[in-house]
Amino acid sequence: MAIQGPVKLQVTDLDKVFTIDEGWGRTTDITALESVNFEVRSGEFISLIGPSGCGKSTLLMIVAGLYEKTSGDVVLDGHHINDTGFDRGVVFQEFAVFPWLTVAGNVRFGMRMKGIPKAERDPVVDRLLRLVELESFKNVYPYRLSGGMKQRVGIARALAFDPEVMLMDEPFGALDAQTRSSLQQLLVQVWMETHKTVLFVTHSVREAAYLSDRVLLMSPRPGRIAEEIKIDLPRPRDVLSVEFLECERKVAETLAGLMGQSDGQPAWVTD
Amino acid sequence: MASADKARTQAGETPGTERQLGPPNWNVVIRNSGKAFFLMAAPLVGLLIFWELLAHSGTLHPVLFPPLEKIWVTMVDQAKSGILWLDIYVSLYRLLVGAFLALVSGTVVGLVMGMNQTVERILAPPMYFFLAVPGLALFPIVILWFGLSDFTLISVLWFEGMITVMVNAWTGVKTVDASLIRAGRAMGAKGMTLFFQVMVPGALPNLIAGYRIAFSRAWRIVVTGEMIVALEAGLGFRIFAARDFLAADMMYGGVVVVGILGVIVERVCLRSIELATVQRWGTLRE
Ligand SMILES: Nc1ncnc2c1ncn2[C@@H]1O[C@H](COP(=O)(O)OP(=O)(O)OP(=O)(O)O)[C@@H](O)[C@H]1O
Ligand SMILES: [Mg+2]
Repeated sequence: MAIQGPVKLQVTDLDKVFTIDEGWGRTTDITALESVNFEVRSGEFISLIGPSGCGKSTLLMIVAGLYEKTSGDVVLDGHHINDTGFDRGVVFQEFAVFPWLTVAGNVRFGMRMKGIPKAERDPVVDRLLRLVELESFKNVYPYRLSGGMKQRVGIARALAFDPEVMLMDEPFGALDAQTRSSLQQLLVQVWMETHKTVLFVTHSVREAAYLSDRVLLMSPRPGRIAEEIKIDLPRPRDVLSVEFLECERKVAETLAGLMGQSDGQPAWVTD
Repeated sequence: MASADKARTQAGETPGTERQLGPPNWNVVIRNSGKAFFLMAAPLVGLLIFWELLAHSGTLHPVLFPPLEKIWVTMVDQAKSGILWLDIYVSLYRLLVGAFLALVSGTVVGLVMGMNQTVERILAPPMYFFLAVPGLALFPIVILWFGLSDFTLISVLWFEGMITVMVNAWTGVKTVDASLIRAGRAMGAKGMTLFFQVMVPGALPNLIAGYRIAFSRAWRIVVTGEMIVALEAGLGFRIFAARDFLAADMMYGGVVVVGILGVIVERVCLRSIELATVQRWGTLRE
């Protein structure tokens, strides 16, 4: 079951230092990431999990080309990444759907930027809106959508220009439990249909275990990849099966260990 | 009530714009607009009744506080002789020319300021300075340059309006949600494309707020400016000239016309821009 495709994304010795201007000529350096190393294979679904502030978003934004790295190397399909590109689609925690465009307009945006002709755009829009179950909201402005619907626009929009890699920063973090569950299922379905490589940031142990082929656990700041856990279960996964609960337990215990809990106590990472 | 319920479309079943809306429900339209009109008119009517009672009470000087019927007759005379229409035409002409120049130049300069740091550094200090100077204070200087003319009036009007629009366009660009900019960049927008496809629409709510303020300031400048630059027509000129004849009725009438026109211009010009953009996007509630 484990994915053995070629290496898609390689992150090597990545460091990120934020220099904050404190005023009156003083600055503070915050090391957000220190020697981050990992690789993602083609078609793999990878989750990044770790305590708040450990640098998960920073890492994802650097891979997206939206933040500059301090040192190290990010290589995607043999190209060094320093800028944004159509080979990566990004889904944001804050949805970031453009309020001045309709649902269809939002999905078309990336294709317009990529220079895809109009005639080819419309079928893609229809197909993606069907995929995220928003066909009937095609011409609606986003203010009329719920949070979950906005994020479905966010996902469709990121898929529209057919990127190789999907970068998702806690895409369901701002949603309620039920919406979250249904979007997780939707994402699994989309992933199985499109065979995209996914790098998925989350806070939730269960979400990571449900979605991923591998879970990368980050240490508290300065963030490093401290552990890696393979989840070798067939999809769609049954979250109440013994095998799943064992995986979830393993992730939760390892994470609790990283966050300073000594061995032998019950795991306290609850979600 | 029953008819209103029947006309209500079941939006839950087929959401989106594809759903079929029936014909307008005139009962509801008439009831709602009647209600709105009453709510708007009632306080004004109260004010007029109060005025009328005061004017007829005999305690106030009838020349300083003429009753409504006297003001009405004066204004009807003005309208019949054509003077009122000329004044309205001249004042509106000045407003529209000045405001148009202000909107165009203010928008361009403000957006460029928001886009380019060098331009921002150069223009921000003088912008803040002139923001603190009332347009009216510029009149004596501009009169020295251009004399008592329409050109003087429109220049001051343009300048004041431009500064206002500029500040708002600039702030608008500066306050576009960082996550929207990131989303635009992540989808391949760069440079000018990013600017026109993300920054400008993102700045639009602020920009329109700026147009609003600029319009109302411009209208004030037209009317007050007409009193200073003393040309031969215009609503402000007429109000001020009426002072020489102690014609209080003409002054009150003039003030009322100024107020009504100001409201109409605001409603017609700016509401329609809003309806077409920010209101449609839901970024503005009313
Ligand atoms: N733009 C920035 N300027 C300065 N410091 C920043 C900036 N962005 C992040 N940081 C710092 O970098 C560290 C990592 O932040 P990041 O947002 O990547 O954490 P995170 O793991 O995504 O946290 P969370 O799970 O809460 O979203 C934090 O300590 C934060 O204060
Ligand atoms: Mg984050």
